[in-house]
This record gives sequence, C-alpha cells and structure tokens, in this order.
Amino acid sequence: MVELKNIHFRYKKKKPLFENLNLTLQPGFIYGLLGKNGAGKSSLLKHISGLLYPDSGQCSVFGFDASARKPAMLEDIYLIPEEFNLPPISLRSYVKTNGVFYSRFSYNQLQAYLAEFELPEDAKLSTLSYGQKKKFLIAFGLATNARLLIMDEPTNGLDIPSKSQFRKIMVSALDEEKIVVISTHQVRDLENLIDNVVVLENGSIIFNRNIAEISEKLAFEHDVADMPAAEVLYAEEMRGRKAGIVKNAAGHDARVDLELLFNGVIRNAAGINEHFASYKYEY
Amino acid sequence: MTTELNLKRLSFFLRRQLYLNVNTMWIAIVAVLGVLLIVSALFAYFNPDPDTLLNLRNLYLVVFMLGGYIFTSKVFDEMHAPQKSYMFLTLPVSAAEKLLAAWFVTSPVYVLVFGLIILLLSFFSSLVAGNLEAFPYLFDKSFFVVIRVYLVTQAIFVLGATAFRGNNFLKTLLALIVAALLISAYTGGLGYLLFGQSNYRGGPSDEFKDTAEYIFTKIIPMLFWWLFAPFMLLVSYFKLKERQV
Repeated sequence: MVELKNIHFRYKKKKPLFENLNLTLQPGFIYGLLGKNGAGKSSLLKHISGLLYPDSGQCSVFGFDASARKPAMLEDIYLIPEEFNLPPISLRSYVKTNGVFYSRFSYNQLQAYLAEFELPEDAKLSTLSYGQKKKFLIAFGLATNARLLIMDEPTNGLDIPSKSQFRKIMVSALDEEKIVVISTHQVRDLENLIDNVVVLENGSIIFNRNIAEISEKLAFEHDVADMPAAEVLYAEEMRGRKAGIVKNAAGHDARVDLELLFNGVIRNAAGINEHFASYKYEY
Repeated sequence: MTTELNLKRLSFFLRRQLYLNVNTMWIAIVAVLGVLLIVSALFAYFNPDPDTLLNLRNLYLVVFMLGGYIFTSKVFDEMHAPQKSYMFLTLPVSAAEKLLAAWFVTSPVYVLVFGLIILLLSFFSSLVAGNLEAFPYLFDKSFFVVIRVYLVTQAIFVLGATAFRGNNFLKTLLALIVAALLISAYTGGLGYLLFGQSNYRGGPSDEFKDTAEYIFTKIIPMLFWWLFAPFMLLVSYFKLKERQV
C-alpha cells in the first residue's frame, strides 16, 4: 500500500504546491491521476518514488519511508517518466545491466512484452523512435514485477495500434498485489483501463473515486439541454449541444466519459463530491 | 538484497557503470595515451638526458592528477542529467553502494590503470632516449607521494561530483579557491587582531613554538592523510542520500 499523510511541499522560492495532501493507493488497482498542467501530478509521482522529499508529512511505500530510498523499496517501484534519455546500447545489454537489480525480474515476460510491442531484442536503443523507447521502458518496467508501477504520460508518442497494445498489456499485467499509477492528459487513452480516478488541482486531491462507483452514481449525457437543472451536475457547450454530467437516478451502470468527468470535477468538484457523500460503495 | 551494503549488488552496479561508460573511457585513455606518446617520443629523442626523462615523468604525474580529478568530477554525471537522474536515483542500489562504486573506480582502479600507463610511457621514453638505466629511478619516493596525495585529495572531487549540478570540475576548483581565500583571510585577520596593533616585539615563546610545531608536524599531517578523505566521502554519502531531482 502507498500512503501519503499530511504532505506539505514547496519548491524553493515558490508558493506551496502541496498543503496537507493525503492519498492512499491500494494494491490491485490501476489509478488514473488527472490534473491540469502545473497541478502537481509529476511532483506527486516523484514524492511516491522517493525522488522528492516532502517538507513535512509522511510518504510510505509498502511500509518503507519513500525518501529513504532503500534498495528493498526501490526493487518494488518502477517509474516511467514522461521524458527520459536511454543510453546508446542494445536492448539486450540494457536488460542485462539493469534487470539484475530486480529480484523478481522475468526475462520470459520481457520477451513476451517486446514481442507484443514488436520490438526486436537486438536493436540499439539509440536507433529506436521515442515511441519505441517508451514501449521498451513499459515492457522493462512490467518485467521487473515491481509492485508499484508509476507511469507519467505513458501513451505520449505511442501510435494508435501501440495504444491498444498498451491497454491490453496493462490489463493482463495487473494482479492483486500490484498498484499502477498512470498520470496523463490524454484521458481517452485510459478509458476501460483505470479502476480509480484521482484528480489533482492546485496541489490538492479534489476527487478520488472508483470507476464503478462513478459509473453507478453519474451519467454522462450527450445533450442535457432538456434535463431539469437540479439533475445536472455539470454541462459544457459542445458543437451546438450541451454535453453534461447528471445524477444517475436509475442506478444502471453508465459509460464513464473521462474527459467530461475531468472537466466537471475541475469546475464543480464540490457539487459532484456532494453527490457521492451519502453513498457507500463496497469494493 | 536488503541491507545498505551488499557486495553482490555493488558488483552489479560497478559492472553497470563500467558498461555504460566504457566507450567514453576508452576514447579518453587512447587520446591521453596517444598525446603523451607523441610528446614523450619527441622530447626523449631530441633531449635524451636523465633530466628530460624526469621532467616527462613529472608531466605524466600532472596529467595523472588532472585527469583523475576531471574523471572523478564526472562520475555522477548520470545523476545530474535531468532525463537520466530518475533512473540513477530509483535504481535499487543504496547510496553507500553508489558512493563506494564511484570511489573504487576513480581511486584505486584509476591509480592502477594510470600507473600502468605511466610505467609503459616511462619505459618507452627511456628506450627512445637510449637511457634504460634511468627507468627504475623514475619511480622514486616523490612518485609515490604524488599517488598518495591524489588518493586523499581526490575525495574533494567526489564531494564536488555529488554536490554540484554540471561543470563539477570547474565548480569544485572554484570552491577550493574560495575556501583557500577564506582560510587565508581568516588566519591573516586573526594574526592582525592578535599581534598587528600591539607593541609586542618579542618572538614567540618556546611553549608556543612547541605547540605550533606539534600541530603542524603531527596533527595536521595525520588529519590530512587519515581523516580528510574519509570525512569528504562521508559528506558525499549524505549528499547522495539527500539528493532529489
């Protein structure tokens, strides 16, 4: 389990980024971390992976203090950043020199992921495109069998078939011990993949719900122009119609439109959270 | 593999670092060796007297020191590169192992490799100068003192490599100059405050002389040879532990 308690953090000479931030991530789920530019998503991921230390508060990963960066904890974390620079060596050499640090590293799994992503093992990393390098890092990260996989914009640079492959691989790789955190702006890429939606705004978690809960409590309508105002939690103009989030009175599972949900939460977090307040969902 | 210092993990990390930097290291070794070979051949051929050989040996030692400091300053480059630092810092290797590996490569391994290069170059220049009997005398006491001085002072550059982000060698040099100036200014100022405005014209007392002699001949050399490098490495360890992106 990953637990952030009362985190306060500010970059030097800047206003506070996190003030009393609390977040718990449970094993067995894929978390989608959403937020506008500068909301603090990457900083939050860096706190979890021990790359940034909070000014106060506690960040623990599987019982370890993240900032201590103990090898036993780091073996269980794999971070795929948005921007990276890989050494000019072959995939095979990279795996040989870096895979040894992860005691549960599986070469068979890696081969399967590389095959799925159509990456040749003997290729040189310097000859691969950005998207191919990213796919390699995703494959490597999954093969480490780290219990916490953190991905910052994993679908950036991936072509359309690769995005489908990515979703397929992620779903197959998840087990009840693993926590996957995916931070992205491209919310459409996460549809049918994430279990929990976490929205970060101005350094605070303003929304943190399970997708099944969202699907049962909210409905995402193509046009809410004719609906009673009391039922509409959020609406936005969209090419001559009014798309919006409404209360799911029927209680039937609705398809979650992550983009609409994100916009709604950013503009009316209080209203949407209030709708969930009296609701208890077991998962 | 859970403790702070694990020899197996340390060897994996050493192998990784050497593998990732082997091309750069080979280029540097071949370039330095090539330049020194040409310089040695020219000097030894045109000035075949023993002084030239000794001067060449001194040149090798200067290159050895300078090269070692630059190499040491670059040993944590991966940690300072914005797009590589995440990998270095999240690699399941402890700060102690990262430091130990860096020190091992830039100190004993470097001394051994460059020592061999000096041996080869000295032999080559003695051969070209037709003065092979001078060869053993090139490895006198001062040669080994230089090696010892490098082994101690190199630790300053390990600290510089952990503390500064980019241009580590130049920044470490600058920090050394500033530190030297500050110490000089402090001791000069202290001397002036104590003796500058007084009318005391007598020399220092015997007791003062004995104390000063003891400090300068016993305490300071002991601190320098035995405690300075470990202290620098300890500070470097904490710098590595505290390092964020």
